[in-house]
Amino acid sequence: MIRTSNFAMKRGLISAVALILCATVAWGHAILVASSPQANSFVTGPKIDITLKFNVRVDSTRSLIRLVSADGTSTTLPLLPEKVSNVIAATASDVKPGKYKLAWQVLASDGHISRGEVPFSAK
Amino acid sequence: MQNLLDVFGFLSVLLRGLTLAFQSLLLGGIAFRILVRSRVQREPRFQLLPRMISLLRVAALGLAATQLASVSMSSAILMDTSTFHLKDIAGANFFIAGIVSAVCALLLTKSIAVEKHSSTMSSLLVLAILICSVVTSHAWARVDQRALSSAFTFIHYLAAGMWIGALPFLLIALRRSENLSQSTAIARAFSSMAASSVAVVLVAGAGLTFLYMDSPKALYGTSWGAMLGAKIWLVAGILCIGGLNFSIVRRLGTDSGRALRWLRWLVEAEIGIGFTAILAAASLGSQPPAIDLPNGRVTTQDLVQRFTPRFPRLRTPALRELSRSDEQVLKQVAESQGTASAYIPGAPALQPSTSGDIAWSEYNHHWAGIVVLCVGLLAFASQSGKAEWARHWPLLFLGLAIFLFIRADAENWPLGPNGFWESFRVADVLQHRFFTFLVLGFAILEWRIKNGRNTSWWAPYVFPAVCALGGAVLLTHSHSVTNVKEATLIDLSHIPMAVLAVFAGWARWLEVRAYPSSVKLFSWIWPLCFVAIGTTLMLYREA
Repeated sequence: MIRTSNFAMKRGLISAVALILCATVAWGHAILVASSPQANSFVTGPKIDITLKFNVRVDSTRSLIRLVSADGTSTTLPLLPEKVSNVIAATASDVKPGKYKLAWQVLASDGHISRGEVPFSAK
Repeated sequence: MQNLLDVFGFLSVLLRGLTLAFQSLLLGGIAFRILVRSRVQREPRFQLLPRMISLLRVAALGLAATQLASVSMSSAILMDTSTFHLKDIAGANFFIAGIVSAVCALLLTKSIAVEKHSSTMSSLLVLAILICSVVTSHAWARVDQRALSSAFTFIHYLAAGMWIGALPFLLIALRRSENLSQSTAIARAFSSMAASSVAVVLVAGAGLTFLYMDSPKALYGTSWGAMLGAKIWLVAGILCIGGLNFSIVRRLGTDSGRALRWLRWLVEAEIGIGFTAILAAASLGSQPPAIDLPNGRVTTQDLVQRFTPRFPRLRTPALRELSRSDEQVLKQVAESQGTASAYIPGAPALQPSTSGDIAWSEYNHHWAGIVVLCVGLLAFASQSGKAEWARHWPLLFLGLAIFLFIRADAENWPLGPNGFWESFRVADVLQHRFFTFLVLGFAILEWRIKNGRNTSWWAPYVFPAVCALGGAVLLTHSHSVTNVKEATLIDLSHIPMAVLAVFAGWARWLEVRAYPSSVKLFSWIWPLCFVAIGTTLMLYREA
């Protein structure tokens, strides 16, 4: 049962007797601070330049960006060489109008793995 | 692999905590050896004792194991979630640092025993381990001020190891020392090293805080700040005990047998709280620092709104007011579509909490708080010696255990539609049931002790150990990587309870150690902590 109140309840009740073993799933601490396309934005295809900027340095050779279409089809995009240590970039071509999301996963320089999504629409 | 993904956040924090703990032990052991050899010249017979060498070996093997586990887990995750192969991952920073650290730790197990007269090789190996730890810390990933934050981190780890990590070796030395003058000389030499290390820990910690925190408001505005607050409280607790130790050491003479006994007991508590602070540091390091989370913070208004005291919720909402659990929703969908249900524990909730859910949770918190408050008050009464009947306070935990069993998972037997055995298939419920039975066993054991029905030497230590360990595990939990305001508000109410549980546990530990001599200070601290935990639970709110 994953309701917010229940999550809090688990930690509260059990900590009351100092017996707790409750963990939420967390994926490291690289967080997305800026993106192109922006979340929930409209962009013009068929060629879309993608840039994701993070709060920490990332290992771009061991990170990835996937373009996921509304029907769930996923394409892993080859990452472009990037001079800035906290940015990964790619280009998506032949993007048809519709709803998409960018599913990213990065390996931070400190070894933490983070992942997330950026939804957008192409027209 | 999906199961590993579910617990990856928690496991990574736990492994990082263990890595820091083993690393501190190794640093402390090597520093202690150098210290004793250079400063305790009057005692040429003193050598690193076999038990110290064993502890160093255990720490080295533990470090190698945790590093290999950490590298394996991250590699497995990367390979499973991408098209990368092992050869692609082998060049990653974390992979190289983890393997180098593990190899150095394994080499240490050999060099520790071989080096009779010099610690040069061991010192170099432990230095390499420290560098590997820094390059897998948050400082190394910073975009700005990378060199400065890495330098602060290096110094912080080094000094923490020389202070907290060396304490177990001091304890062994004090226990095994052949005479009082030798113990006094060792304690005095350690005291000087610890005082210097404390100063360095505080300066480096302040430097990192300056780099990672943009405003004092982040202390309550972010989960990172809340964890930093917990670490500050723990360090304050260790400093209080350290201060007592310092004053004892300064007054040690040739007839200080009792003072040395107290010194040993206080060092035990200092070790316990110290390593809890190290685990909390791992949890702190698993989150983005406050400076990276300028938006969505908890504001002063949020705090006032959430923490303004209100009368506890003493009436439960009806079961029908609760929303269905995600498992139930998915089960119903699967049944209607004739497909197998798929549910991922730890995934975001499918549906938000309703007012009924919140009322249910608050009711549970508030009654649990009333029970814990009563435990604290009855313990006070029992300590005063004026209320003999109050020694039955452990029985209150029996009530709490039954309460937890019935209400913690409302969708299961006896309240919900899921049957008794069916409910055990859900990991969360299984976990709750396990803790419920643990509380039950603990309550019965403590009650038997209080009533003279269990005289085993180990029995009185179960209560402090469970309290301290529970608080430590709560502090080692992982956090949401994004600045979810609600999660921060929950942290702000629950992290203080974890710190109080740690303090309660170690205060009770000292009371038990000092028995039959009565030291009022420690016998009052832990009931006071229970009163504070109970009050916090009673004031808990979710909206």
